Amino acid sequence: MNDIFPYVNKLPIFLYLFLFNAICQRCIAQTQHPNVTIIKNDISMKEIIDEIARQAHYNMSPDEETYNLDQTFDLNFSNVPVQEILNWLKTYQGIISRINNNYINLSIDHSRPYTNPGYTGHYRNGVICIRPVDIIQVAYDSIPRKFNLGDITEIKTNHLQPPSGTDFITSIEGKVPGVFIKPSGGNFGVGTDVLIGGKNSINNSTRPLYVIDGIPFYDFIEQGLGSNLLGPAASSRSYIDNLTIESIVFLKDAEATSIYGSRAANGAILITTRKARKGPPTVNLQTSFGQSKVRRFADYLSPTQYFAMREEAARNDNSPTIGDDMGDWRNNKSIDWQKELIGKSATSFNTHMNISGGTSQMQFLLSGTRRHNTTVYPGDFSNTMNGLHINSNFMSKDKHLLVSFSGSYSYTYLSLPGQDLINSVNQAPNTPPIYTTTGQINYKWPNPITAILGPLFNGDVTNMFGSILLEYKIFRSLSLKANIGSYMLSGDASITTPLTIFAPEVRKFRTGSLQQYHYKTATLISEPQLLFKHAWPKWKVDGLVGTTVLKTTQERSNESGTGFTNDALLNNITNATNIQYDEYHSLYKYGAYWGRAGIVFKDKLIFHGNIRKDGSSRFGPDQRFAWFHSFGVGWIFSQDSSFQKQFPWINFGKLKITYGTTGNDQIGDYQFMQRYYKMPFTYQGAIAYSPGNLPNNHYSWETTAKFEAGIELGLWENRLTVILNHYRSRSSNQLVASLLPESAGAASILANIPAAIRNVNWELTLQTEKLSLGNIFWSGQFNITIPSNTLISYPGKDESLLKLRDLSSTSLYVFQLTGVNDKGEFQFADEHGNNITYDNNHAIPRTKRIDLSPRSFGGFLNTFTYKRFTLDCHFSYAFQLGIRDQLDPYKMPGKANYNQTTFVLNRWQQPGDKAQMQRFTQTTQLKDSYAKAMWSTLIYTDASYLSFKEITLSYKNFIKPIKANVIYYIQGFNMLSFTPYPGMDPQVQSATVLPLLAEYRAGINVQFQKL
Amino acid sequence: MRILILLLLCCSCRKWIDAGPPTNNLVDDNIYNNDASATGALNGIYTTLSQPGFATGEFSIAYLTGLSADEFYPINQDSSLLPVYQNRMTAVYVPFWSGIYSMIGTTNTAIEKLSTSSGLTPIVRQHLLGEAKFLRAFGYYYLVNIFGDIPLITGTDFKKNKAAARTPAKQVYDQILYDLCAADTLLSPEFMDADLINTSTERVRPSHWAALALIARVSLILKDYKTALTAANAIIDQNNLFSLTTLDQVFRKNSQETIWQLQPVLAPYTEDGHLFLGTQPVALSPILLTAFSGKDQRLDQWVTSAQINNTTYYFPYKYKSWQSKDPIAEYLTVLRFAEIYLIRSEAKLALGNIEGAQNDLNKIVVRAGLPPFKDTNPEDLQLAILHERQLELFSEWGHRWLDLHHSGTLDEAMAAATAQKGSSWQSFRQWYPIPSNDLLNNPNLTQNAGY
Repeated sequence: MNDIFPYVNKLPIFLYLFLFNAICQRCIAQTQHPNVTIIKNDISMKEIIDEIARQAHYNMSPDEETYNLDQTFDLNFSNVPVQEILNWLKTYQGIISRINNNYINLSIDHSRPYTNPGYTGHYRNGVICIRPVDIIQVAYDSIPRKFNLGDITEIKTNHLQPPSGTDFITSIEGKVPGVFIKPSGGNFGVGTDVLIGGKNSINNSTRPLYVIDGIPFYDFIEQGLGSNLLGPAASSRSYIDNLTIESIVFLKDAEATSIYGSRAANGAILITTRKARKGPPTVNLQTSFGQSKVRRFADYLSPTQYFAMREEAARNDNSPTIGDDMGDWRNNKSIDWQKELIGKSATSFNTHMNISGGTSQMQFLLSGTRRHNTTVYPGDFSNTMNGLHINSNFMSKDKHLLVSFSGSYSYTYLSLPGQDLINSVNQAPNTPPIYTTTGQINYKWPNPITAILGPLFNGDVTNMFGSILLEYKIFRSLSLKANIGSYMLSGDASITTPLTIFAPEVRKFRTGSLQQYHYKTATLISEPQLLFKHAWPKWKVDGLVGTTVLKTTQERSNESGTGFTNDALLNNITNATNIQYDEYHSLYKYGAYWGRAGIVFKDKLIFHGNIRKDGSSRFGPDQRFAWFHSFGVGWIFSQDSSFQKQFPWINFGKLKITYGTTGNDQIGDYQFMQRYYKMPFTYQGAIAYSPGNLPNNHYSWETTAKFEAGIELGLWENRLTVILNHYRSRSSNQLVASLLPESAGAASILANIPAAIRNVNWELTLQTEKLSLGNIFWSGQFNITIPSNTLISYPGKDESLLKLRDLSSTSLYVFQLTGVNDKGEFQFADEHGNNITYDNNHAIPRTKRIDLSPRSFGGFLNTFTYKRFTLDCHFSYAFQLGIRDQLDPYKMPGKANYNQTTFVLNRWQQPGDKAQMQRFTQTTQLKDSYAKAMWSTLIYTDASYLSFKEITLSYKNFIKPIKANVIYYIQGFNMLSFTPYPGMDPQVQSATVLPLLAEYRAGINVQFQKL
Repeated sequence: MRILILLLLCCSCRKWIDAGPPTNNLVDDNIYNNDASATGALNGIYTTLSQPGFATGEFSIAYLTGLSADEFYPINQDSSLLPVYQNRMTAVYVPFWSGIYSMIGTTNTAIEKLSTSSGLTPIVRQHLLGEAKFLRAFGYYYLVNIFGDIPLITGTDFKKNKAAARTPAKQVYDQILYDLCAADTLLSPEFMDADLINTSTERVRPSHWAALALIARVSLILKDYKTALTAANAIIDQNNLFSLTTLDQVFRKNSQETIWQLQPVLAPYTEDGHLFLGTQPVALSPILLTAFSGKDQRLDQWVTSAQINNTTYYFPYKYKSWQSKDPIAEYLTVLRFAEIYLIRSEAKLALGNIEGAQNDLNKIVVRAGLPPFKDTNPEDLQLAILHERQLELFSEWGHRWLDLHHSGTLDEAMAAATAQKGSSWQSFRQWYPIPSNDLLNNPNLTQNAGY
């Protein structure tokens, strides 16, 4: 929870160098004015300046803007020359001073944009210890980092982008302890699972709560606009412009999340968009170009190996080879299908511009982005996003009223194949050519390249959100705040299947089809709050009460038309001969009261508590409300003078314990009611309805109680920061499809059962300040999370039931494959460990428990600076079990016309063989044991990885004639991975979706100052 | 300003967070507030019944209990039907149970909501309530006859329902009769259109007569012969509405013989037609075929044969259409007039009216082209009625299995049948097992003896 990521904060890198030089030089400079002593916490810039003026008898003529830096500082200047403080002002605050007789002129240094320093500076002779107060964002507020008790990690996103085509969440992989990121593919717009603090629901979604500028939103588009590539839970984050995001805050424990009550059992992610800065207008232009490719292809059999496999299969079957591959196609030229279908280089081209500036009363920011990505597929597929972002702030002269507005808009156009072409790469290597000699598509065989003609997916997504923050200071310590926001995402898509996918001669017997999908979700939120903050000499007290009213609507509809006889008419559904229509609407309403209170005693003891009463429309009338609460205690033990004497090398130390409750209401709308669905038939010519799930007015929230204890140490003047957290949560009242005797009218009902899941995480973060290695400075961060997930109770504790239904939250029972018998057939272990083979009469038991949650994960971040060069490299790793992507569950090794990976070479050939795979066959004889094997230990393999996620080399230069800072950079993403995983991608673990792509990018970033 | 704050902070969100029902789905709370949608809920039950399930097709009572009894045998010897056929069914897979209970659950909701609903036209509400009660009784009739004592569930509280123990059959019959008597008064003596206001020539909704027919059936089982007689009389007196048709017309849609039929919804044929003529997993057993005398017209009209792998198999041919190209000509007959004669015959016999019993029986015998039955010995007559039921009602709604039960001849008949099936008969097999899944999830439930 420290500001862990110096490497994203790349601007002040060489300013640092400058800083240390400057301080040292000034130390020996003579001063005519008295030295100054300022030892005070929470001091504002104006107070600092006033104090300098008073003690050193200067007249200060600060630029008015200088006062208005909203930060406060803890200062410990003891009898230091004024120049020291002025240097500090310059290096940390960008305030330039000129001493002119008895005047000090202060002005903002516009040669660099304002950045929140976010880390501590040191003066090494021990005289000065400057600690700008580090502010951390929490739910509904921001507080000094050192007084924070919650498990919070903040990621500042400066000018860098995640790999093209992925959303911002993928770039935090390995950076945040306790947060596990599992991407589900390399295409733009596919979902990414984010798991905070472990999986704590058996049946329901464990997505964190996403809040952008105070507005909660869903991170997925339900049913993915009908696209097979995007999947049923396509990401909605992809439509937020990465470059407009200023920070992402991860709230993990109860202290940080219970203020979000029923929606925060899975943690919360707060996203803040960029805010305007005062000062003369600055313009920032960026452009980058990248290329990405599939990093690692699957290891398909070579043509020779392929033919050997096919012949062996025929021998095993005692039959001649069947299939075109061994017949008509025998002498065809071999084709590398992976190269043909997923082997292209995708390009990405981004441009971004922003302009920002303003006075202390009024500031504005305007930015625009255009992003264009192509795909690795043949054919002309791409996605293009155009985004706009605006922020404007107004503060009244008396500073009592603050009005802030942020708005973002993006329009994305997607053009994708209807199916992921990776599904066709297992063609035989000797199929007929893809194209005829004249370059036309070869229709003489079921050519998978027709996928570039259809079905085709075309969609557009509009994402808009805007929020208004009003703050009115009623008294000095009491302000009234209101946050009003709205989020809207809508998408329209069509999937067209034209006649051109068929060979010309059969087109007259075929028809085309069109499917249209529409999706729209809108959220409105209003959160009036009353905020109290006051500091007495020994006590600091803050309190917050507020209320939330929220409404989310979701509308989905689709039309499916068939019978098109002419491709020219395909885009108008009225030309279909048969149209089917379906529609879904839902409304979610949510209301809450909440409050928070914190007391800090002598800057040493911290007490904090949250309480919330939530109501959600997703529950029956009697179960709509519930209380959630949390409390925490912290002790900054380094504040004791005796401690400081004893352990001078520990400059900061904090112990904390927090406990609280949160809930999970991600069960979908209207589930407690019995819904009736219109049947596709009529009876007696009249409409007929069939009832859905049984109603249950009695179920309520899944609750998760979270406990966390942690220690945070700053060693050797914060050169090393150590954060160790122990997190335990217990999720109970699990809401599952509880089994019923069918005499009750259905096989199950959605109900709470007294099952409980425990998640235990150990999280360690080590972080260094910039350490000097001669001219090279290094700072690094290392984090590791060791999670464990246990289903600690289940009603009846009936293991057999669990085996039956895979009801554990992260583990499942599979068949234990024990090898291959003497006939070359898979064999499995029964309950007693005996080998059995598949036969119709005896069920094979699932005896092996497989746990798919990672054993540990984390990352390692490094930033090296050398003069104007900065090198960032970022690794992430996980130790985990995964799914082997080397076997196709539907195509047994030896099957005609389908290639296999080299994994199948370890097969049974003759009695006595100890093989992994059963014998090759081109028949379906072994299909049942093969099907069982696809649910067995065979398909689980070590999917641990150490992945070189990102490397960035940048060079920064100030070009005087145009008064601009120019940063040149080259980046590489996902370039290298060390893994025992035998397939394509240890993270995606699938042969049917595109793996994460390796990308190289070059870019330039020009920051014009003082326009 | 301050007032605004106070308002914001103090307003109750209890009302605010009620999202109301969905706008594109009906829910249990509002579907019964409107004539068309309430009727739609009941139509949903009929539509479900018309699709493969316990009422028709390859999971149906007619088909599977026919296999358990002596009506069919599977053509494919390694068929998954063998446990049902050879009377060695286990509790792992048990047919009918979930389908019937699911229908009963829907009717329980319907009865509960219709009883308190205020938005319906009174006559519509009355008729729907009657239909729901009739359907509930109809469901329990089969459950109690196939499984014996069963949980009697009439409410909608799932917490109660999931712990319901078995209710003695006697009480289940009481509930059946209670529901049927209510239905009898609620339902119209006219066949109703889907708006439940206008009458129709379509006999696809249960009427007053369907309720009476079921009352007659149940009373006969309970040996309440007077009630059975009264109910049967009431139906047979309706000579404008009902009559025995020629054999080829019996299963035609809306035939004069129909008391209640289900309209096919998936295809223009009945699922039974498709099963016996299209899929043909089973053929008529020699026991049934040899029970027919050679002159029996029913053998010509209701039985067909086909050559499969050089063997001749015989199949039910009551429903004659089974292909999509056929125009819709037949509905699935649930209750028909001929059975009422047989019921009345048995009731009259039990009440000592030998001649009346004989007359009623002969109505069916003569229609089949056979000479009238002349024997007046009550025991012979009793056997003749059972025999006639076997021939008249074969492959329909499990009549054979249930008749063997009630006549007390099950053990005897099944001993003979299992000899042919290559298995042996155990008396406890008279009841199907209670599904193991239900036993697992309901600790109060017990298994039928023997399983």
